[in-house]
Amino acid sequence: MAELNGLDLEQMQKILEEVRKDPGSAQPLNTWNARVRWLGGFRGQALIRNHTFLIDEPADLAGKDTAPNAVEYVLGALGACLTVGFVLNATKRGVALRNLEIALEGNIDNILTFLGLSQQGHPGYREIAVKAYVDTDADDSMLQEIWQETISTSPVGNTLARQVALQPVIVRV
Amino acid sequence: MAELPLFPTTVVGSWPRPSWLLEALRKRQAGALSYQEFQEIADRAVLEALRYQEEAGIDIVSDGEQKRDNFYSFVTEKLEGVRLMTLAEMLDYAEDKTFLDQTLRQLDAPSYAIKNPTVVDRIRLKMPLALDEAKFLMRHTRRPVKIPLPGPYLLTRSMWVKGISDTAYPTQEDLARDVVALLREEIVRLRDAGVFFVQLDEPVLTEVAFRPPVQVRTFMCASLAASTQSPAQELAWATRLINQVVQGIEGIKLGVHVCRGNWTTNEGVLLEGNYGPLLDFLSVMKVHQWVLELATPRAGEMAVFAPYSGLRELGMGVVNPRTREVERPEEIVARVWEALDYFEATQIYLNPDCGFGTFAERPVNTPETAFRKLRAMAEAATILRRKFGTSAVKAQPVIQRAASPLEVSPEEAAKLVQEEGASLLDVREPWEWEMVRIPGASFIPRGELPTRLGEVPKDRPVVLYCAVGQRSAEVAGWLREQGYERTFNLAGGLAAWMRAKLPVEP
Repeated sequence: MAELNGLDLEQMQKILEEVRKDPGSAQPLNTWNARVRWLGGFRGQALIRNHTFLIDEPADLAGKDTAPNAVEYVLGALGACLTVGFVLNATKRGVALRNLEIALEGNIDNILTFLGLSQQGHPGYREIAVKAYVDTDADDSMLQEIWQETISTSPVGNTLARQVALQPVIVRV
Repeated sequence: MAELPLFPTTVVGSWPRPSWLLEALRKRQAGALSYQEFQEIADRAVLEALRYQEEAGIDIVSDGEQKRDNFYSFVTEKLEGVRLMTLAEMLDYAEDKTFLDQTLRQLDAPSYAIKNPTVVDRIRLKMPLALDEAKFLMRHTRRPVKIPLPGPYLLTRSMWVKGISDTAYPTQEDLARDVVALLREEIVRLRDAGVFFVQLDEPVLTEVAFRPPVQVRTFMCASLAASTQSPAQELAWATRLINQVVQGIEGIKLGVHVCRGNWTTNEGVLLEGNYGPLLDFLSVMKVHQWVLELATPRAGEMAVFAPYSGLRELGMGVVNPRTREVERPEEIVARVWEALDYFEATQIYLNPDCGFGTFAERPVNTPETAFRKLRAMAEAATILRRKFGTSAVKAQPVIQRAASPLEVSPEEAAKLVQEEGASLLDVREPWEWEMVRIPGASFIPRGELPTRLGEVPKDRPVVLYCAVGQRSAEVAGWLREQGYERTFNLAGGLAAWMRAKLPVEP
């Protein structure tokens, strides 16, 4: 079994080949689900397939600080997405990675709007700084190429960079 | 010991590594080069670093720490039971992960690139820590050499990681015992090999003393953040460890180096503050020299040394290793002139604030600029020697507070004890008493005095003392109000007592 960056190369080639032959087979990968249950205070529990995780707020936002908060999960999600993308794009090109770490920092446009204390700006991230640290023998131009493709094909990156059509509904049960 | 001119010039230790050495270092760490193969490459770098120092006119030279990854992690190579672990590997054990993330942001580095020597088993010497460095250096220079060693507090604090080290050593104190023994043996070995100066690096002491906000702490003590000890207890412990290491070792110059971090050229994020909070501790460390950062405004005023003047030699930081502009010799002379109010000319050595390449991969300067800075230092020393002549000349008299009738000098105090049976009363805190005291003194911390007043004899004079005579002066006034009319304050405190070469214990 040929392996690169901890991935089974043959299996990866096989998946890419199958999707190329039958693009419809990737259809299930287009939809994702999550369910978040309120636990009291600012705490919540997310249920995603067979996984659960907690969401909370730090103490200075009246939370109990038992878990990251939602906007932090967004950064974590983007970092994770770029990690997956980087490894995929490197592996496709036969580039071996010894280490990869992505540091993110997001700046909220105006947090006062979230608290209802201001009408200026919005409560979303205005910008997110993303820095990837890589340890590899690949040359600089190859690294740039992998990084550019990772950014431009990132599902979470695109979600954040484009406008998502939110379709909110509320139901009393 | 070597014959040295006045104002000897020296370095703190490290020198920027050439790129080919860094490449070899990476290969060595990846296991692609043997110890011997790496030594052969690094030897060439040492000779370069040495040539720069000799050409600049440095009197006491180092090997530029060319064979080290950094000033303390290098012990991994010399010890069994210690593994160089990345912060990534240690993340799960870190007691304060927020601190780690913020530190990595400050360093602009990923967790896998920062390595910490971590104790994973009982430690045992594979080979002497720095004897190989010392021997090679001494074969290639006639000048006296300085070998920097990581201090016992730094080593213990950084190497003991809860969750990893506690199976081998249940507590930090347990590890400290082995670290102390190890360093003692090393210093004796280095002395016997002919090393002139061993400098114990304890850079984190400023972090302990200043309790900086998390943004300006360094990673060197991941466990520091979780420490429940007060700074005074922590510093007292550090002082005890250093004294255990150096106790009774003679025939070699011993110094302790305390800086404020040397990991970035951004002065704005480095620690700021004078040495005031550390001087009660430094003044009882049984070393000859304090090697201190004094070249930047961040180090504060020299005046904090006044109560401790003349107690120790000063390895005076007179150039900033991190800046590109080179200090003018006249500026350096002016700075030394300030120090001469508090130290004698024979007590002052000149050195940069810190090394030029503390961490192999992130030097703070180029060899060319570092060379020019050393050169400026040597020129300043030449100017100073012209002023003072070549023989030892006494500087301005040490500043002493004007004595009031209620204050006594150390000599007068000793006489009062001997001739009138005066009682010496130490009013400092327990940790201070434990570190150093006057033989025969009794001890009542000043906060306990009101409730323990009955223990103070009324039939004889009482001489109160503290570290520098300030706290005890207050207590003396109060005690007189309580009817103890023959109460005196020891002017200048224990510092003055030690300066007068009167006995202390332990």
